[in-house]
Amino acid sequence: MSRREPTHAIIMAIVLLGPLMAVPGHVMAQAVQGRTVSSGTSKGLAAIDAGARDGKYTFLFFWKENDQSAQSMYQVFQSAMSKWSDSTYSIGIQLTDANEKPVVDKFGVSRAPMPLVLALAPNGAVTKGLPIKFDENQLRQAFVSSCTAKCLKAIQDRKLVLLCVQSRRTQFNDAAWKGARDFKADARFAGATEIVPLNPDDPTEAAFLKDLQVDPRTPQAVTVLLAPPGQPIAKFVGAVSKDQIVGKVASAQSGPCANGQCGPGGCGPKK
Amino acid sequence: MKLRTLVWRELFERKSQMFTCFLAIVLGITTVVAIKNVTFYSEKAVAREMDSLGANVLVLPKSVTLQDYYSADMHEEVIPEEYVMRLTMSSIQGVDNLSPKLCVPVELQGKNFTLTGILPKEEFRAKAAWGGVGIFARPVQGCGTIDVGGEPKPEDNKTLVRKRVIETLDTHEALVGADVAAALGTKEDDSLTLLGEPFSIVAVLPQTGTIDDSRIFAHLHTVQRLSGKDAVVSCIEIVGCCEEISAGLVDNVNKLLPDAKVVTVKQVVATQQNVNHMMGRLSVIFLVIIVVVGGAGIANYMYANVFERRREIGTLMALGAESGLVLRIFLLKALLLGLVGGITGFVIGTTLAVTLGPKLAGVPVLPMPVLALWAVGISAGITLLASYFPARRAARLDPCATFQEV
Repeated sequence: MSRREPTHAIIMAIVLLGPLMAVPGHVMAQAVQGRTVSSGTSKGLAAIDAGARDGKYTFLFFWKENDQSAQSMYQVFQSAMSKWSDSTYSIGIQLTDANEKPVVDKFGVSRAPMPLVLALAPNGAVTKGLPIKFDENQLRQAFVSSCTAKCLKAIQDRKLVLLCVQSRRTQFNDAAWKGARDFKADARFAGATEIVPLNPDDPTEAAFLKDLQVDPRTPQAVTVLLAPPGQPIAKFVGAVSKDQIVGKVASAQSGPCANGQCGPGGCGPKK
Repeated sequence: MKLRTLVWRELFERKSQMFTCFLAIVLGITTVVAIKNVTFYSEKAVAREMDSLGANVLVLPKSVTLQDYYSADMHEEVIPEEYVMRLTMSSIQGVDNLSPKLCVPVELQGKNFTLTGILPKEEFRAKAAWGGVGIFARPVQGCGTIDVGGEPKPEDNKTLVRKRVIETLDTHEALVGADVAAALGTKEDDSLTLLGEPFSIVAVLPQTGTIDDSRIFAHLHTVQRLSGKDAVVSCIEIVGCCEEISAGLVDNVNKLLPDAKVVTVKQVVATQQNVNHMMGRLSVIFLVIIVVVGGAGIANYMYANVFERRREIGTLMALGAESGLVLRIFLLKALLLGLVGGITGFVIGTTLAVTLGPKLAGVPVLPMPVLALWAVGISAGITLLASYFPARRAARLDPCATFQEV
């Protein structure tokens, strides 16, 4: 916030005073934290652009009617945003505001439950969607590690992710990396694959590795294959070849339960 | 005189009684064959439904009651469309495949059809990954929805009726059921005007034998706009994966959407299963009635016949006819009655089942040749059993004693 402009200070004042007074609709619509840049007439898009440029998270508070639920959630939202103002931009967006139609359409939230908060990482990944009721703790969960944001972005773009967990001390780094690169070079998967390197020694990635059930002290490189909407469908420890990865993708696509086609008897082989 | 002639003449003695017995056998066999036939196909339909949809869950308005999974959305009540996103954005496992639907009636070429608005998966797929880092912690159970990206294939649309979910659908594209296409004489790439706006038919769906055959599917938001409805749906179908997941899914969805009714396919088909069980018991009761009433009627008819014709029988035996011949005459008569009654009952019962079954049970019914053997066997068995003792009595008659009565 070192480059904060005068207008920003005024907006901050509104934000900080927000909880002390009733929250009328126009305030929710206009309260923007952080610097804004020109992006048409949409303040929402401008905030997202600013977040991407400044490496900050952007929190969007969508609301439809200025009712009790929207007001109380907006107070929770503003209270949290005021605490994280150095690392975030935030804005309230009314669905019916014609100027904000681009941002409403961008996320397809015109028929979403309201109020709704979307948290965006600097790379544009939606790191959390919180509809109707939420608290500060849930908002805090929107801050994710760099690799998590990269993976989320790729998944939300309907891409496969090859998460290469490697460090200087892990073995088979080159072989694992080559397998991932060869897979991405394959014309069948090139456009829909993202390779994300992850250093297991990075403490900020510990929670992500825990979710993926990968030991941060792994002596060998680990390659995790993630598929939309976010499932880890394969984990390769040590060296991995392109054919092995292709095989896992193929079995995931054509397995007995691919596309949710298995019946009440579970996932046994079916005709 | 040949045995055949004797049997034939014997058959038409006391015609009215013979006809009454024959009618009892035919009616009984008809009823049992019809019930068995309809029940068999109804059970088959339930089993098929459970096999293909068993793990599925329906989210409906609270006040809706339903007996058929395929017509779950055919009612006036609605729930907010926002429930779709609540489900998608929740951390509940097993809600990757959703199919929200809204039904409105439409009239085309003077015929009534159902226009069903469906929401393609592409419109809410990305939101499933808005759960943040927690989405990567979902356990891989080997049966989740694996979406490896890429463009959907053109033929994917035709799998709608099987998969219950559609990947993509433009605002003015439509898919028509097999019956609709046949009734309207339309095919793929034709144009169709629905509620005043033109639609392009992107696929004619394969025949399913369900109500889906008489539906026209279009984009949910277009159907909402054209029918003047808000952002509402008639039902949300959650295409489940495994029963184990579905079991926990119902409770979780109930908690997330307390104002909606959440039912499983098992609950939906429970009524149908009860009806099938009741029909099964009913067929047993009818079988008992045939055995008791039909058997008693035939036995009574035969005894009366033997008693009334004891002089003719005595004369026949005095002329040299052996007991065995007399026994054969009466048993062959009973066998003929049984065979003809069984075949007639099977034909009428099967005709009734095939014509009325689809209307009464809502399932297509086909003839079951195996029931013909069953019907003839039961019918002939009853008539032979009921006629045996009267026939034996006739065979044991003393010609002298009968002549003394003259």
